[in-house]
Amino acid sequence: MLETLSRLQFALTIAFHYLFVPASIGLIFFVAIFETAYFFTKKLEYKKLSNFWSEIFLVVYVVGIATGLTMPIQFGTNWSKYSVFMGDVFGSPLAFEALMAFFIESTFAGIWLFKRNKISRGLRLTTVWLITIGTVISAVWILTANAFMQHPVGYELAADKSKVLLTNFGQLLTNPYLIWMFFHNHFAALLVGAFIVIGVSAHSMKKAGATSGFKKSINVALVIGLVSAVAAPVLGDSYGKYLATVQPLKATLILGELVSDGKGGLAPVDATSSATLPVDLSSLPEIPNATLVRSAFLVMVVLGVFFILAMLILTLRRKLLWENRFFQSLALWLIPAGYVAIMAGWVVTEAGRIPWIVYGLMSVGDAISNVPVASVVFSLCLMVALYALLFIVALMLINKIVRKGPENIEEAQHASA
Amino acid sequence: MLLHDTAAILWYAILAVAWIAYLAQESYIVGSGMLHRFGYGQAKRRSIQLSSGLHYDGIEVWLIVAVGGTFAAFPPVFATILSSLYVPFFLLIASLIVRAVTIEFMYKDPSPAWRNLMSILWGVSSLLVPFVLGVYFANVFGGIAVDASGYKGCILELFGPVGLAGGLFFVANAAANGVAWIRLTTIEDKDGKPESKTGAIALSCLSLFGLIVLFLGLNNKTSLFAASSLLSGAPILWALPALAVVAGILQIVAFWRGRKAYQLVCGIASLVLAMASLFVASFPRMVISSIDPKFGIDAIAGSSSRTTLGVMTWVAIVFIPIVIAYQTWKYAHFRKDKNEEA
Repeated sequence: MLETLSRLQFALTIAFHYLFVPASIGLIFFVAIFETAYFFTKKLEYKKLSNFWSEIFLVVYVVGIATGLTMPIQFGTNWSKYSVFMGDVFGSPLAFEALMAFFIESTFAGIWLFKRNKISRGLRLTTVWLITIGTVISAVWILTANAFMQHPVGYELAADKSKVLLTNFGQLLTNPYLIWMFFHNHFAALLVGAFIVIGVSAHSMKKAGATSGFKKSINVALVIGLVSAVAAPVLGDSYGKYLATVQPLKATLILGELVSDGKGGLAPVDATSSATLPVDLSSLPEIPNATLVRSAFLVMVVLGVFFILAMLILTLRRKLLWENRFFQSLALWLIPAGYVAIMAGWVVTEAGRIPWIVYGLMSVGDAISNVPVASVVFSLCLMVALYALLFIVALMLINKIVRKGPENIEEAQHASA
Repeated sequence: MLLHDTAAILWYAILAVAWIAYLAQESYIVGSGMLHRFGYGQAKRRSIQLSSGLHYDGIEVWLIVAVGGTFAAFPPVFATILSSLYVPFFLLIASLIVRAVTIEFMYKDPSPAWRNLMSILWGVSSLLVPFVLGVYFANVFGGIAVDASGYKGCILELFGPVGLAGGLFFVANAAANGVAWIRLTTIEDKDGKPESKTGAIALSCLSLFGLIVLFLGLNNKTSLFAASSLLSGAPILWALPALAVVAGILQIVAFWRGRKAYQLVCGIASLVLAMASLFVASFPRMVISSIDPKFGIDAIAGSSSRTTLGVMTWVAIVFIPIVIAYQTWKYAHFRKDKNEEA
């Protein structure tokens, strides 16, 4: 019961937090592009576009950092045995993420959100790019921590096996798992950012007509979208091939099927991959859910192929988005589709390494805090209620911003004085 | 081992500094949030939201550094304290989430009902943040009911007299600092009530009262000061708690005489010196068990490996000054700005 609730709470809070992360990473990149264009051309149109996408970025970013706070705290509250076991290796990337990324993002996001119309063009540009760089550094550090959980490197077990000890920080940073995951993940985030820009712009064109601002937004988004739509699966394919060498069980789950081995355990159907399995499945404390991992992988791949086609068609026939009401409505659905693909990818990554919380070193069940069940019920209810409200508020505010459009966003800010 | 122990002690100090940097700055941010509804006109409220909204986010990262740094440098301490004080931590997170969202979204919709709701929630969450933190620190320094198998206490125990004194000190100190912050950084109020001098003096008196009860309560409960190895080894350090009280008195005087900058400086100094006293007095103990001292964890035994502490120390030496530099620049750059509507 305690384990189920703790896992449920972590899965829900991380998934909800991750709704806002790729959108922040993607949108601030668009803001940075328009702000750069404004800096060099001094054209007011670019400033308006930068401010418009910033308003949406603001909502997403605020909910993202607010819900991000829950994550490090939970390692201590709900996963204290994990924290003791892993702290020596896992804690420092988190601390560095705060020192090197969160401080830049938060300090300058404050300036951007509250003072952007009162500062010079140069300071505007610097601020936006610092936030953008902050999001990249942040991703590197948190994925460093996650990559260690997937594929531990640069460590040794303590003599009493009670914890892992860091031996080589350089190896932690050059973990091949980190490199594959970072690029695959970052292109996926940029793709979702592009989908938001395309979806929102196309949807707005239905009412406002094909205004120059939305056309420019879509033109930029199609370039980034096409590149990311191709890059994410291409990198993902190599990532998968690498995966087979370090996480054979996950690779087997993705490609093959598990059947009963006749001895009470499970074995992969595919005889060739069973030879590479390092563990006897029947010895594991928990068998990973093969159906879940496989179907999530399938969803990701099908959507990935669809995204390449969609980006190609829209790039070649962008008039469809300017004029065709059907395509304008359809484009909005790219946004949830992008999220489904990202979440499916993470389900493959995380559900695929069950029973391990740290691959080969610690199982999920051994990692949880021994706290009263009532406490976890309390925190789970509190977080679900709070997050549900946050979700509604965020959607409502984004909807309001979109309805105003880039032309009215500045006047609206003055009007609220 | 010598190098390892030195690094562990250094990290005890760095984390104390991170906590103090967070609490000192958070005091006037939540203080202004608590008070923004009381007696101020609409334009003034907007100005308070702008001046606090500009800084709160960057300040909150000091909290993440303090918590994340404890995770990295002292994993068993992090695991024991957070899992023991489970409910307070979730209350703190929930309050911080509500505060972040309300301070940012308050003016994103023009309807009065929305703004009123956001304003109430901003006020309530700003009250809860220092209250939970005050209760938290009173209990951490006063000892929590942990034994070898984990936490043995119950949530209500946290709200004993010492816990409540901690909560009172943090809330009243924040409110008093908030008054001073509002006076220093926001526009003149044209349509609100005139500011009450007695109200501000009362808040700073409450803060001082809470501080003294907290000090006496902690010493009475766990002999925190009496048994401290640092204080008995270097009696000069007794100046820290003494000056914390003096700063509290000076804040009252500053409110009495209407000296704006001193009101803020003395209030912050009182909090900073109080927290410094507590970190010094409890050193090197990081988890203090109220069941038996042997279940506690100290900074040496609870620390990470030499490799980890080494890497972390280099990163801290490089990046903490950079962070302090750009955050100071930000305060200085927007100092003269009275936060009027754009």
